[in-house]
Parts: sequence; C-alpha cells; structure tokens
Amino acid sequence: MSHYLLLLALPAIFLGWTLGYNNMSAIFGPPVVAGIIKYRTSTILAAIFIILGTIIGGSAGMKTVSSIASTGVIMAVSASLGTAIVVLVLSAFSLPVSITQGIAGALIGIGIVNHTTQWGIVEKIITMSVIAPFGAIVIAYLTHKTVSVFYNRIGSIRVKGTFVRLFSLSVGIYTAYSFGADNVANITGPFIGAEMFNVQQALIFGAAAMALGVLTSSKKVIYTVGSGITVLEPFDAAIALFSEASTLLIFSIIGVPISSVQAIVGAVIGVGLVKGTRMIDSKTLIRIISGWIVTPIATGTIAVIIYSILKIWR
Amino acid sequence: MSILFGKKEDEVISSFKEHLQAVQKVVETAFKILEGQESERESIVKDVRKYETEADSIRRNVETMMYSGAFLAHSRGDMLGLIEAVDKIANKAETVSDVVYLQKLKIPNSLLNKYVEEYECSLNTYKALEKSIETLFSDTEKTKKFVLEVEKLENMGDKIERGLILDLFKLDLELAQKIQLRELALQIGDIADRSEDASDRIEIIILKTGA
Repeated sequence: MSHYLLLLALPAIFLGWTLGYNNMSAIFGPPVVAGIIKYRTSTILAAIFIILGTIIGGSAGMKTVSSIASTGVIMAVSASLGTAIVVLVLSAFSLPVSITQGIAGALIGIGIVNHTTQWGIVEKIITMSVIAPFGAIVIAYLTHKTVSVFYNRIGSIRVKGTFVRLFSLSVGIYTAYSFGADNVANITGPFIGAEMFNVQQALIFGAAAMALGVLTSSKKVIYTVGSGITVLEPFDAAIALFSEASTLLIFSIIGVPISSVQAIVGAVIGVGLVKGTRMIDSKTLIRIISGWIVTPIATGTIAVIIYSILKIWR
Repeated sequence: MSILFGKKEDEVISSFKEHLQAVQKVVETAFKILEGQESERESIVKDVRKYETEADSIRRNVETMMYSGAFLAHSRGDMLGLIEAVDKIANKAETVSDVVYLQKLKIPNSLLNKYVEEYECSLNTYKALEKSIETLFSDTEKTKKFVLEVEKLENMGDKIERGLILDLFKLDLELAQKIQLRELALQIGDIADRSEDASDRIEIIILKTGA
C-alpha cells in the first residue's frame, strides 16, 4: 500500500472512530444513564463485541459495498471525511447522529455534482428516516406495556434488579455485535474495491476504529439519549434498548436497513409515551430531529467541497 | 460475575437483617429502663449505648458494601436512605433511656402501665417495619401488608400517647415533672413515628422499582 493510499484510508479510520464515539449512545446509552451498567464497563464490552461482530459477521456486507464502490475511491474518501467531520461537530452539540444518513447525504451531494444521483434511492432513504423512529416508537410502546405486566409480578426487588441487569447486558452485547457486523462495510468497504485493503485488513481496520470510538465515546451524546428525551427508570432503559434491537432486526428481516440511532431515539420516545406525552422533553427532541435534517445537507456540502479539492489535487 | 448473580447483594441483605436485629436489641434494651430499678438504670443505659454503637457499625459496613456494586445504582440511594432511617430508630430508643436516666425520672405508678403500653406499641411498630424490610427482598406483596401494619400501629401509638398526656396533666405533680414526663411520652411515640418514616421509604422503593 503506497503512502498516498494510506493517507486516503485515514478518513475511513476517522469515520469509524466518530461512529463509535457518537453511536455508543445507541449501544449502551440508556442502561448507562439509568445506572444499570458503569460507563467504563459498557465501553469495554461494546468494544469487544463490536470487534467480534466485525470479524465474524462483517465480511458479507463488505463484499457488497466494495463492489458498489469499486470505481470511486476519491468519492469514498470525500464521503467518509465529510460525514466524520459533521458527526464530530454534531457530537459537540451532544446530538446523536445517523451515520447512514450522513454517508447517504455525502454520496447524494457528490452524485448531484457528477449528475449521477439516483433520486429513487434518495426517496427511499428519506422514507426510511421517517419510518424508522416511528416503527421504534410503536415497538417500544407495545413491548413496555406487555413486558411490564410480567415484570410487575416479580415479587422481589432484588430479582427485578438482576432481571434488568442481565436483560440490558445481553441486549447491549447483541446490539454491539450487530453494530460491528452492519457498519464495517460502510467504513472500509469502499477501500477494498480500490484494492487498498484486502477483506481481512478492512475488517481489522474497521473494527479497531469503531472499538476505539466506543472506548472514547461521548458521554454528552449518551446522556442526550438516556436522559435528555425522557426520564428512564432501569426497567424503561432495558425495554428501550431491547426495542431498538428488535426494530433493527424486524426492519432488516423485511429488507429495510435503518439507523440504530434513529431506532434508539424512537424507542426511548415510545417508552416515555407509556408514562404520558408530558414526560417527553420536546425541546431536546426538536434539537435531535433538527440534527437529523442538518446531517445529510451538511455532509453533502462538505463532501462536495472535499471531492472537488481532491479531484483538482489529483 | 458476582455483580451479575448477586453475591454482593446476598452479603448486603444479610447485613441489612443483622442491622435490623441490632436495632431491635437497642429498642428492647431501652424498654427495660421503664420498669427497671433506679440502681439498674446505669447498666441499662450502658448496654443501650453499646448496642447502638454496634448497629452504627453494621450500618456503615452495609453502606460501604452497597457502594462496591450491590444493587442497581439507581436504587442504592433509596436503600441507604432506608438503612439510615432505621438507624434513627435506635438513636431514638437511646434518647428514651437517656431521658429516664439523666433526668432521674420518676414515673408515677398510676402512669407506668400506660408508658409500658405505649412503648410496647412502638416496639411492635418497629417489628412490623422489620418484617416489611425483610420481605422487601423476597415478596413485595407481603411488604405492602406490613407497611400498612406499621401505619396502623403508629396510629394506635398516637392514641395511647395522647391519652397518656391527658392523664398526666390531670395528676397533682410539679409542672416541671409533668413536662419531663410529657417529653418521655413524646420520645417513646417518636420510635413509632420514625418506624413509619422508614416504612414510607419502603413504599417509595416499591413504587420506583415497578414498571
């Protein structure tokens, strides 16, 4: 690998890091804020299972993405760098960001410049962004209503505590594993097509970047998700996390990949709604949604600028 | 792994029960001072102090254990509040024994039975509280019943206390002695009041752990 190519791979590593840094809120965010699991323990667990998920389950998606992006390494670099910058800036504002939406925005932006944008896909992405949180709201609301019936029958506060702890840990671990398997292709996949990495190298670089991201993850973003939208008791936090994982699973089964951040925000809202609409902090919600609207526009703009510079430089 | 499967919680629960028994010992020992001879009062007070110190030490131990990871962080504060509320009952029993001993209180024979009755009621209130805490870790439905029992007994104690003060002020005694004896009745009643305060915390714990 030449120094030039290695330089081009750095944005991918940067994106992987910001992904873990911001999206840790969707892996263990609510249980950390509800005091079920310590922040440090959660980041270590997330890092381990992201690495496992990436190495064991990441190669399938990798092949698909690498074939799609085989012709555009400059495009991939621009999209990665543009998205990473926007995620970092929005993290400074404590906002959870959908990386999928960010990359999509960047690719659309570059597509517009090159007159290659497929508007059908754009429409699909926008529709998914709306459906995902609503799906999570419904799933979380129904799950809370159902599981609470059984939970309230547990007679011992100690057993309740153990249940919540084990439930959150197992769902969090599952989410971390899927997170690694689902996202690595978006980070280093395009670079396989450009023959900069082989599949194994791409998996290792991707896993390391995401793991480093969760190990240094933003507490501010975690707290926005875990306590900014609504007050979550330990049981609520466990249900929110479970509902996020279920939403991701259900949507992937029906063939619609959605953002884990949008799923967790929707799930937290769903759980909050069980206690009434007054329990939802609309100001935080408006900030988060504004962040989601700004993300693709900002990544698109920045990616186009980087893309134009790189094209001239090259 | 012990955090997951509750080894630390077992230790905390066991120490919690030990603390409850230590506090009961304080309350029962202080009770002896009402009917005891004046010559026995000093040794009773010494015993009360000794047992109260033991209870304090167990409480501190529980607090340390709890912050080393037992129970969900979210409920730790409530649990600590509960154990501190129980500890205040021992402090109150110590105050009762001190009031009798330090002020060399003479309880008129005509009122002695009422003081004993009031103290018994306070002791029973504490015992109901004890059961409510013990069942909190195994069966919260039973806990709720014992919490109601605490409230009922505390109300009963209030009635006895009011009747006692009413009778006290009918007696032909020095005003200073009446005030001293009223103070004693109020302090005994406070044992039940503090038990009820602790049971209020239990209700909050149950509510907060519900979905």
